[in-house]
Amino acid sequence: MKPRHILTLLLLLVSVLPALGQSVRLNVPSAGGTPGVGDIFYIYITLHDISAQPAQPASVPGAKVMYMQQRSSSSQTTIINGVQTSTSETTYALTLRAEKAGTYSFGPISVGGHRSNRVSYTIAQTSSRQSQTQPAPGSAPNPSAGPTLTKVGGNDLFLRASVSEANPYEQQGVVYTVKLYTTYSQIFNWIATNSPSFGNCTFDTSDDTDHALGTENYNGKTYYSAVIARYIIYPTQSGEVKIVGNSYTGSVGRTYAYTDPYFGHMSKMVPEQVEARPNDITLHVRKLPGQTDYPDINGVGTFKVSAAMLSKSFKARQPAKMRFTITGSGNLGFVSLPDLAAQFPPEIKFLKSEDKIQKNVGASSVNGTVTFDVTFIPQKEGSFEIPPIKFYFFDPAASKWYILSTQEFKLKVGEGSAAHADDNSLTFDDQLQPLGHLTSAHAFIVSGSLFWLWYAVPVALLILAVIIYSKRVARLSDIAMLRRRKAGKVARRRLRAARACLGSKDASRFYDELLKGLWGYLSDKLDIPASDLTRDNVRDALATAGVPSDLLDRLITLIDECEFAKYGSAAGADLKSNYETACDIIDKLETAINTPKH
Amino acid sequence: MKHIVLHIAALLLLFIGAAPTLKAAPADYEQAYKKGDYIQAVELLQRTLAEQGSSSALFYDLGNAYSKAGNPGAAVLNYEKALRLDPGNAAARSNLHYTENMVQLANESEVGDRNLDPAPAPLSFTDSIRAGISTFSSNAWAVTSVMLFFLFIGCAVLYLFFSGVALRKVGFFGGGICLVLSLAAYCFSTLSRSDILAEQTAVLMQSQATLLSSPQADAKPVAMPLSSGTKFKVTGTQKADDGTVWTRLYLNSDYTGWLPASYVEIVRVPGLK
Repeated sequence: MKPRHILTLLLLLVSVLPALGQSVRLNVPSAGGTPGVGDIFYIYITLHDISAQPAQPASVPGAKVMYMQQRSSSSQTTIINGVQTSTSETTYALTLRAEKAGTYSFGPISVGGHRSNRVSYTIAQTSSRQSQTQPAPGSAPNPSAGPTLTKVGGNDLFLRASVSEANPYEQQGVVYTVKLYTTYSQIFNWIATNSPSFGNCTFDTSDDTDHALGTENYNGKTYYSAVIARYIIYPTQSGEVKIVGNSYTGSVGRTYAYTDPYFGHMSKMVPEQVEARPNDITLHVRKLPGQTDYPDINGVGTFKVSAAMLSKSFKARQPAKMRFTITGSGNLGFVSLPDLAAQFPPEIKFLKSEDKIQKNVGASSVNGTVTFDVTFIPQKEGSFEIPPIKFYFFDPAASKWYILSTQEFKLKVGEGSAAHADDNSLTFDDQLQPLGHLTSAHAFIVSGSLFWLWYAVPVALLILAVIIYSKRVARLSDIAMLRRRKAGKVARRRLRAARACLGSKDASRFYDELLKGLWGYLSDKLDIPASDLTRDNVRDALATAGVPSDLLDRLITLIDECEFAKYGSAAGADLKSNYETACDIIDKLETAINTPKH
Repeated sequence: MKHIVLHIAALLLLFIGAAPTLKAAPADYEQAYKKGDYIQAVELLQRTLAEQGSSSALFYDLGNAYSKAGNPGAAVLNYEKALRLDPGNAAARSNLHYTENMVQLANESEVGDRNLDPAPAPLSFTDSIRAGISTFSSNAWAVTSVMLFFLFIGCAVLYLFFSGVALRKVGFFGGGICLVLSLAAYCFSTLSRSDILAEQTAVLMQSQATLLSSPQADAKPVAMPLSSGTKFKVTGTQKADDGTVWTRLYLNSDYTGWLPASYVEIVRVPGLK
């Protein structure tokens, strides 16, 4: 696991991924006893996994809201379903000045859509706390000498910020201290008016600050001094980090000398409001040396590791738990488990891990314990071993890496139930598919406004085709019927034309007309195209129509004779007799065919 | 004229010949994914989604990237979206099963020795029929319906315009079958569409959450915590006094309760209507 990887995970996943149970919690720290009227007290607002900032409440019952500052921020990583997610926790301190005695309750407040609990607190009439600002006994110079009347701030009061290490390693704890130096012997209600900015570092607020002024020699001058703020910060990235100091305000007791007619030289103290800001500090954060030599980094600090199996018995395909405990001092939020999925044997499937941090913020470091509860599932029965798990730590004080191992565990896995028996057939295909055609409008065809046309148009075309077809059929049968009815007339007309040729003795033309008449009549009557007419189908068709066979024979004989005369020699042909036979046959055929049969 | 045609033909041949050697450069997100920078791959894919639109393969790639990055909730959500657009995306279906199995294992590990089973309730008869219908997309059913209708028209033509008993029999019975099938395919298409539009499947996006018995932050928890990636059916919503929206979720008879609406996300493909 690389720190950079974690950082991008933190920055992006925390915004993309709401994680472990977002919550808002209020609590009133009881350190320092019950505040009296005029005392400063705090309400802490702890946000778990919420990126929104709490709004500073306009009023708090019984007290005046001074302001709100961020007190600490930390993040934790969790491994569920094989990979990492991260969560964050931020605490804000709401600084209040008690104004009216009584018992009050505050909350619930809403941050980022989550509701907090309600807290109650009591304000006593008089303060039971020790005054915050007495000078240390036996060290104060003569108060009547007092400070000189210089302008507010300046050399008579200043804040000095310092860090324990200006060139820390990534994730190394750095103590940021803000110390107040003053020549005033009394300071009242000294509070910060905003939070310091630590860039991209995570931090914890230490309560190890001074509650009373001590003396210190600084740059050759004696001052009253007190540590007013202490933070332990962890840089998350190498490079330059600028720590911007925040403003503080309070009132100082300014002594005025005057002469009283009766008592002589006197001095009186008048409180005056001052503001001050410490210097900014730049940290030059170094990368961890030789990090590429190690496969992983599990923490920065001084730690001890131990492992224990929480489950006593093991069954195939049933989840079991084990615990890794890491104790020590350093950036506890950065401590993580090695890649257990890779180190466990293939028959033990790593499922998820949950971590808990318990920490104690001291004067120069954060101590505590991180517990990882790991859930795993043995895949089948048998005897398996969890090998020693190696943890890679970096000790920033010694600038050295050190490797700690847990002991190995031997597991005897018994027979499990039948559930999840064929899980091993499920595989994950991590190939990517080519994107193909990208569009933002995925229309359903079936609901398209013109979809019905796909049905309507073919039906319309079909109906059209049927109409056209039936009209054509009707038309053709009309024509056929017409022709059939007129067949006789047409034939007689043709025969008359032939008769005309009789007179002109034009034999070829006569037979032309005669044959045309005969074949034409047969074609019309039988509804067969003239080119398809043969003696056979004529005979068949006429026989079907009920024409007696002797008439048929006469017809065929006549046709033979005419064709012989036409295509052969017309000599010996009896034109007139052929003509009369033709007329007679046609008359007879008309009668024979037109008589309704069935 | 011939000259021009020859030129065009030559150009086409050249293009076709060159096509196999023209390979698209691997996209940025592919490189990030192969390098193991899954967060970056997710970001690039989301950007492509916002700028150019979506496809089944895009949602599948997002699902894979989220899965490798450790977000099973977003992975399940995206695999489901991929299947809404293309139910035939076999890889999406199998990866979805794999991820859901991991989620199920995580849920079971929370149960301990209680008598609870965080498996989804079995499908009712109508639900399994609808599931069967949705193995093809609504559009596939619509196209099938139109094709069958064309076949029906063809059979009608056979019946109406041709003589010959065999042909007319084929036309009549074939036409009848085709018409019935076409109607069925049309019904499946509209059913599939209305199912997708009435989508009430929600995926848990929080890494762990416990269902509550009523829509209040201090309500009693129902059963054990559930892991990110668990799929529910939304059975109701309610707005609380302070403005937060709560959804009622159903997994099975043991696991049914309320969660803030921000904890889950309903499967909805943008632009599908």
